[in-house]
Amino acid sequence: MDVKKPLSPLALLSAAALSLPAFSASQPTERVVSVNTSVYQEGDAKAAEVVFGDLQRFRVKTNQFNLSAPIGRDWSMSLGYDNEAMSGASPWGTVAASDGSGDLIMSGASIDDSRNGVDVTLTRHWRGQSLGVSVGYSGEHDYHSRSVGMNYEQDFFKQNTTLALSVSYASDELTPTDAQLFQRLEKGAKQTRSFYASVNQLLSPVSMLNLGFGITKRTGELSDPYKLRDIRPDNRVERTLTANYRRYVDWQTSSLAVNYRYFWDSYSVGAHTLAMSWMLGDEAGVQWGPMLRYYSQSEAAFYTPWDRYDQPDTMAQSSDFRLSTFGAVSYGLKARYRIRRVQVSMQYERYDSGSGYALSSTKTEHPGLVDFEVVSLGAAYRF
Amino acid sequence: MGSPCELKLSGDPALCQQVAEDCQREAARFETQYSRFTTDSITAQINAAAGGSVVPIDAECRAILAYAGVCWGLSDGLFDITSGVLRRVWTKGRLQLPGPDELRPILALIDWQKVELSDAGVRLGMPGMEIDLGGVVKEYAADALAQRIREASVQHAVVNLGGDIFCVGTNPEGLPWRIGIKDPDGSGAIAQVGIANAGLATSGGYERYFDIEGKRFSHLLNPATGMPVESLASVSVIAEQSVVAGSIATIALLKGQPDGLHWLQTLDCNYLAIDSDGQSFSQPGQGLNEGSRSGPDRKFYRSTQQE
Repeated sequence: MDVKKPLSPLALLSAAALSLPAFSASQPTERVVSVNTSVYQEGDAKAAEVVFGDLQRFRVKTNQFNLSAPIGRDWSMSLGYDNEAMSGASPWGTVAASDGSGDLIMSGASIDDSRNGVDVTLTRHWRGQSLGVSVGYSGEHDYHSRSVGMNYEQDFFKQNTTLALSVSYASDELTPTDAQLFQRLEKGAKQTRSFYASVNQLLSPVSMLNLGFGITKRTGELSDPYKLRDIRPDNRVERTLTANYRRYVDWQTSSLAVNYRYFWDSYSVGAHTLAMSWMLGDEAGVQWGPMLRYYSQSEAAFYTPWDRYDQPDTMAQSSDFRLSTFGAVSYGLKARYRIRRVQVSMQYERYDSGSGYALSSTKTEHPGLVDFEVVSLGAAYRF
Repeated sequence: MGSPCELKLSGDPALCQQVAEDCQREAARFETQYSRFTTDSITAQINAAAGGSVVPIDAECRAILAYAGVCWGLSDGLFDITSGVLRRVWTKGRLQLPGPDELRPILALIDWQKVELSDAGVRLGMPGMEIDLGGVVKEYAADALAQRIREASVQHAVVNLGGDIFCVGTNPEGLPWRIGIKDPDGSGAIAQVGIANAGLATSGGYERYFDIEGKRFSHLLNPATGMPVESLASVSVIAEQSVVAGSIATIALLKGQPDGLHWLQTLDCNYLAIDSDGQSFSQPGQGLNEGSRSGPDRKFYRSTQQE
């Protein structure tokens, strides 16, 4: 007898078996409580490049709490809370330096703020489908954001393919501090509308590809009110294309993930992100692995290396380093330890940015480009 | 499950006790839900409604039926869960081979393609049709129990449901669990295999057979002819899921000799096949008789084959 499909009956059977419920618990069957705390610390600004203000840049301490649980057979909910405490100085503006580069005007170290956020998602599950609705609120003394979102997932082809769609809307309100003193905007509003679609495809029992497209439209007060001269178009459309590949190299003991993202927007910023991470060890015990990420972006059309007071204030300009041409390399290590129902995780990441890392060249490197480190510690309990 | 079942768990005694009880309950659920011997099982309900109305089924039953459909397609129709009706002809203690006239009406009831799976449920297209999910459920149950054990964070365990086995992790010493493969001709083990994080299933014609007119016939029946398959004596397969191992072993047997062996050789899986002369065959390079540690799956194989 001829074997009609010498390709791989084994792979076909394995893929078919993955659609059996024991191997595909898409619906949460247990409650999970997780807490996470992290410290983000930016490197100090260089004294030689700062004409005014404090050198000590941002430090953010974050605490997160999340609870997810099934409700009956067909529903699940998740509740998230996070708190951030921010301190340190941030760039207010940039002035031309004598050597043709720019120098920074920093804020004083007086910035000391905290942000609290909550979000709730309620999801209805059907066979091979789910629909979730979420609401969120985030507030700090000068910024309030309210958001709503919906996400839908549908499995196809015996759960080998998953389509995910999500839409969200956020309405933010800005009330900058010391507005009158510094002649800042007293009150502003902005709106964000997002749509994201992705397809997840199981390529084999050990590999998976995810392709996504997203579009975000921001309108309203998009300029940074704390900068001395920051005038941005009040309409920004951002698009992203993502491709994520994940492969279990050694079943249960080693997995490799490669992620690529292309971003482009109506400010003419274009950015590539390529990230790789590796996990080694036993899923039921200790797992650890390195991660490496490369980022490169080209500057916005209205980016200026230093603030231009000679331009009318109807003309767009910004010397925000986040809109300049630069690149970054980050690397880190993560580790997880699972014992019974508890999982403890740790992560360290170091991020170095510079114009030299960028794919496109630029004459002047922005003095405000940051390097930072993030250390985080988390624990999750399943019951 | 109609055969001896065994559960070995290693770890915190209280946790193991709790997980073992949970597994027993789950195994009992599989038994009551899918047994063709009880009248209230879903299998019995589907069979009782053959040719009539659609029987609503849950997601698990649907997935099992869909999986059986994949097996049917991959085996060119040899693996057919509707072929159990042949038992009406091949009764225990039968003294003569059945003739074509006796087989014809029974063969007419065998057709996986008449199992109508829809959103509403499942319907068997002809009165008198029957399905038997035993060939999938027992292996799948081993996987499902193993999954429960893993989710409960028990790291070392063996689930053995009548020879369909799943090994969770290694043994407590960090070495592969040692599992014996039964000799088709005797009571001992023909080989010892070491398995970690994988399933093992054995299919063979040696445990159940018909002695007719002085000749021994396998209980494995070809759904197209209704006659016993002249096949390998036994096939054992190691795969990432017991259910996959079981399907491959059964399909290889149903393909007969030598097609079954050729088919196994085209698959990238670990097997031990024994033919009617007692000769054994395994995957070259990573077989069960080579004392090797196989590819990337961290499944280990070592043999103490007695030839």
